[in-house]
Amino acid sequence: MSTRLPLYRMLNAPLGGGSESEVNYVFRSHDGLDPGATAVSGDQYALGKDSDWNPAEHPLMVECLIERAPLLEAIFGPDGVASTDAKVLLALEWASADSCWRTLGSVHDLRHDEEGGAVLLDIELEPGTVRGSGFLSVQAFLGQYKAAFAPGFAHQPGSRLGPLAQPIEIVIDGDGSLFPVLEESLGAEGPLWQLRACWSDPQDEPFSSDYVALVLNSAHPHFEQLRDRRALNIEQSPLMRQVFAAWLALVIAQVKEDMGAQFDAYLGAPDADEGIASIADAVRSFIRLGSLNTGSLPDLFISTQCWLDHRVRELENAA
Amino acid sequence: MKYHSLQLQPMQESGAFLLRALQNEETPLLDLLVRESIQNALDAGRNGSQALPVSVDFHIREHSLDAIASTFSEGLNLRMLEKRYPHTPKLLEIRDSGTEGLTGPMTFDSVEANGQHGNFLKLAFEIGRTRADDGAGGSWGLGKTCYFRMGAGLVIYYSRIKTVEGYEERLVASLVEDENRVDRLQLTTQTGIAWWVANDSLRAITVPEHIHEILEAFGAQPFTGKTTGTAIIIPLLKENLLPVFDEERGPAPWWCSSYEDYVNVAIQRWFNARLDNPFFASGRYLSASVNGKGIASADMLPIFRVSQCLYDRAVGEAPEEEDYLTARGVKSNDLLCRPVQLRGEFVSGSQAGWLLALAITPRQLQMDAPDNAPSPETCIFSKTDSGAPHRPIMTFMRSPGMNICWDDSIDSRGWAGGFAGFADGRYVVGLFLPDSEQQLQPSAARGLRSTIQNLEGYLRSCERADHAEWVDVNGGRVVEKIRAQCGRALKDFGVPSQPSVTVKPSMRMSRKLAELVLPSRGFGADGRFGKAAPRAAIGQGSRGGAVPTPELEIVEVRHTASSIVMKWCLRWGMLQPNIPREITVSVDSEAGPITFNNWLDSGLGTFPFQLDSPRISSVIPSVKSTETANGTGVMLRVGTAFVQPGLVLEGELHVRMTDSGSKLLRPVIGVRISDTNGAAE
Repeated sequence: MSTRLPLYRMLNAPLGGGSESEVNYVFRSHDGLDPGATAVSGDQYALGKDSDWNPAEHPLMVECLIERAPLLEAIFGPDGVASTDAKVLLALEWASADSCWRTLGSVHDLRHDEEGGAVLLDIELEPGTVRGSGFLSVQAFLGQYKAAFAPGFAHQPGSRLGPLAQPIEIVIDGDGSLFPVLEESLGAEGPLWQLRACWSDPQDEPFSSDYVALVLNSAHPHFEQLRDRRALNIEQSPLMRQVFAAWLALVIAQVKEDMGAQFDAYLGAPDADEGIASIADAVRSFIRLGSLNTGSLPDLFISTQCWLDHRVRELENAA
Repeated sequence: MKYHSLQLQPMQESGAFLLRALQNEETPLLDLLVRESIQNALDAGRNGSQALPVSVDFHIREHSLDAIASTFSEGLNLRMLEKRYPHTPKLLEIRDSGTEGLTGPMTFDSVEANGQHGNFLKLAFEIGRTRADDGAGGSWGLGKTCYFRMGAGLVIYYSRIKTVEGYEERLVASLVEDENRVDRLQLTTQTGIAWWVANDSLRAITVPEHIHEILEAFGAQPFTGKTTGTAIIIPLLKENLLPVFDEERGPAPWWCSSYEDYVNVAIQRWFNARLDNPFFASGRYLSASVNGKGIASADMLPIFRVSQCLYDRAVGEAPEEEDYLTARGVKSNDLLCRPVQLRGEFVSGSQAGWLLALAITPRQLQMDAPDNAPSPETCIFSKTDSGAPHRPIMTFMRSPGMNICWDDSIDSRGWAGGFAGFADGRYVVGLFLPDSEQQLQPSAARGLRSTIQNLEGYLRSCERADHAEWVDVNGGRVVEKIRAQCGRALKDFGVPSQPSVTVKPSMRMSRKLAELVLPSRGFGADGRFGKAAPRAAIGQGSRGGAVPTPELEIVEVRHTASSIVMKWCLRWGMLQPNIPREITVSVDSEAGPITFNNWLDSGLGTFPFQLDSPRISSVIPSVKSTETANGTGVMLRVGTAFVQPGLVLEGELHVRMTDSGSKLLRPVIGVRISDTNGAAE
């Protein structure tokens, strides 16, 4: 084992460690879309809460606000990394092994004698460029250096002076459940919705829109009525609930038919806890969570509707 | 010949049972016979010269009742024989040559404990015994019961084998008939089962003259010269062996009017991959004839030539530009060639085999004038063509190269995945060829062996006695997965899915509906709850002082004009505790740290760093530090009495930069167990 020694004084995340936050992050996307970021733990942010944001389709813009006083103290103070006549460059740095790239956001020139409020840094990550998770950190670099060489200070322009705060981790992909819903234009004369089932083996293929999907016809005159605009975050419209109930019953019936005699044995088996949940796992989960009656198709439709109504009431009461 | 009737004993099979044992009433008897007899011949020819074919010759001819009466006079009711066969009966002789013949012991007394029973005893005297090797065609030892169903139940086995001394001929006959029949051939019998042998001890006849006499009575030739092989003679053939063709829907195809022609087509139907095909990959190819007329690959019905081409293309040995498909103008986009991959079933890799399929027009199948070849449905299923859309026809085989079955199911879980065929009248034919050597993951829970088993062996265990289907053993899902994959590929081939550009996921709805009906995690890859829940945590070792190898931590760094001052903390480590530890400095580079010696060897000039002013701050007595001769190391020694698990030393050290150039180079500090124990002293 070996350790590289720094040739000059470097920052080691002096900000943001205390309870009072000196560094704050704001997440945005285009057209007022909120990526739905939530802090899941100290340094980890998850995206997608109550949001239509989709990493494949929408950009991710992050702004970082840093309080000026502690910032100047950390860089130019007695334990700082640059002398007071130096120019220091600040930027947000994105680094993600999962996404296979790193980049810097816009650069802010910082001088010791500069006055003003908080320093604002930003970075924009294009649609389709981020996946898995990645780290965002505030990095300092040496811009200009006027004085003669002083021991311990960097003197090459561009030298990295280290991170100002602990990097935050941004989680784009996790294991959060998603219901496979697609919007597609099936024509004004087409059905309002359809079940797309392209699995060959429901026990093997994951519960994702590649294999099974509820397709909503975006060209249908009633399409807008599927969303309840009055209570956007909690409710689907009553029409959507009916569509959803019918779709669920249809999927369950189809998987049951496909699996034949294995179906009952599969329902009784314990949940598999490894790998990605399959279509059959999802169906088993619906049946268990909703105590659905799969004895006959009419009973299945009835119990599915009742379960959905019950779940909506539960969520409404909890809200 | 000496008649020997099988007496009734506990667990004793009866003739009536054996005649039903194969449990296949749907396949025409002549097809069963062709499948069973050629499979046996191919198994018996496995050890012969790989360059030569295994020859199987079928002969169908009349024989006299006198031949029966004179040979089997003992034990038979000759009056009943005459009554049941008023016309001249026919016999079927199946001769394989270039095969090992019916070898092995001739009596059960000569079988050693746990010894091999041999082909002779298995075929002539036993039921339900099989070959142990995975690559064999047969698996149950029940197939031969179809011989007894072809006629009155009488079967003559004749073989010539090579022995240490030279050659030996063997002949034995057996009769299996329903013991309850009032018109049975045996005078008295409890079981319906009997043998005709040389003497009382159930030995085969081995005297050549006697054997040749019997063969002559049935018009059969003995094997001569260096030829070894087996002839199975089934006299008193039934007269209704040809499948009934529904004449209302058109004339019966030409092979449905004589046994010879039917056997000819049946050989093509089940062994097209191997028949007259020198490119056959997993054994000797098959040379077959009926009544002396050989069946050449080019003489096969078009659909079977197509099937042979699919096999050859899956194997990839035969030149494609010369094959039948190319000659008939089949384009590459009419052909599907796809590996079948299974997740999590194999020890390494995921490929289970190849699926080949093609769409072919009636014209390409020579169905129009002047050839007027019959349709694939007629050739394969002996039924009238159904008209477009024609159901896709799938077949599959193991390494012996016999088509296990031809499947035209359009069930969504079937081999064709529910694809119903092309409306434009093209036929779809597909072949799945497994990768025999692929090794399955051992798993007792999935019904598989708990030891490694190859795919060939597994598939063999999935076949029933008639080899007409693959059905997964309980818990196994290999066949099911293969079938599902083939089904999906064939369906995509038939009905390519149109990717829609207007599709977009509705993320908020996806998230909201998931919250309504799914557990929050596990059914998707959304990041809204953070990272995936960690798997079972791997226990992290304690990071206390008791580490195996020495570890150095840099606690604090100060910069002065010409050196870096560092405070360090050393965990001594359990490995070789009495050997000194050495703190070293080297130069950081993209290719890893450059040590003092490497620096000098590379001619890079003066080494840019030196360690000096070591200071130990720990209050452990008898710690000594010495700088090494070249100045790039500091040796630390601790008196043996003080070395104990968890020993931690702390101190300070200067890294001096020896010239101005070193201001751009970066020092790397490391620790190691010294290899120069006491050498400095």
